[in-house]
Amino acid sequence: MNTTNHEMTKSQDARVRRPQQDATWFTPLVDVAETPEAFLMQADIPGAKAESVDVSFDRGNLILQAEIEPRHSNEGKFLLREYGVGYYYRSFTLDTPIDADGIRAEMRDGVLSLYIPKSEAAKPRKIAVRAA
Amino acid sequence: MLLGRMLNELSPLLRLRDLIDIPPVAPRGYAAAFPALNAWETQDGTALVVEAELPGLSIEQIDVTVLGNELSISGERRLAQEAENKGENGVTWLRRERAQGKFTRTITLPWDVDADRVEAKLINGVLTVTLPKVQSAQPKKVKLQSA
Repeated sequence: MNTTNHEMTKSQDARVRRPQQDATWFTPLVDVAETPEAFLMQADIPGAKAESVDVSFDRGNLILQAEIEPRHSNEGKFLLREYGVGYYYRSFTLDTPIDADGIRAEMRDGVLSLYIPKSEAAKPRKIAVRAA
Repeated sequence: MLLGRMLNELSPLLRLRDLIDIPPVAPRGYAAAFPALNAWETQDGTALVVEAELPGLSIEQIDVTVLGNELSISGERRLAQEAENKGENGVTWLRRERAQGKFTRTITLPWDVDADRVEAKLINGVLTVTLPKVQSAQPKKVKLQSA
């Protein structure tokens, strides 16, 4: 599984301005685990509601996007401003064939959990050896 | 030549913009203060709001303490139980970018706050603490008297 966009994290190098769009984009941090049957992914997307998160899979590309409403645009004077609030975007290229219909996504406490099952052909198989 | 001079004149402005725009980053080898905080005064000037992004934590895992004019946010983040439990026949980590462990951050507030009326809520991984100022720190409108 490879990351195709910039290797940036929110805390290190906050702002990714995508061409065409005038919004501020952040790259969510992820954990990805692989089991014989599936990939398990967790992405930190604080502030995102389930309905504003978009997960898509197309020809080997998995794309995560989330729209975050500005939380304090009309507020008064800032005393600390250590992080920004904006959209989230990240894409991955998967070399392993995936059962796209079986992908499950769940948002909880600002964390997106993805279960991405491998297609039958990509799962490991044990071949019984018969004596001739 | 002209372009060069223009850039020279502009550069202090560009540097200023960098200072304003870019959040604090810890020097190499040091951890950045965690969690990162945004804090602002409400528009009516009666309270201070402090916000932190704490994805994956539940209310029970976060402690918010106010003592005098100091606010502390502490807790512990534990990750990835799920993946490990499922791994009876082998889990391989392809990426582990999310941090875990204990954290504490204390900030000094510019005013005394009314500790009894402090409210904290956690929504979608965002902690918001509202700290009303003590009466003596609240803005007061002074009535003008005609002589």
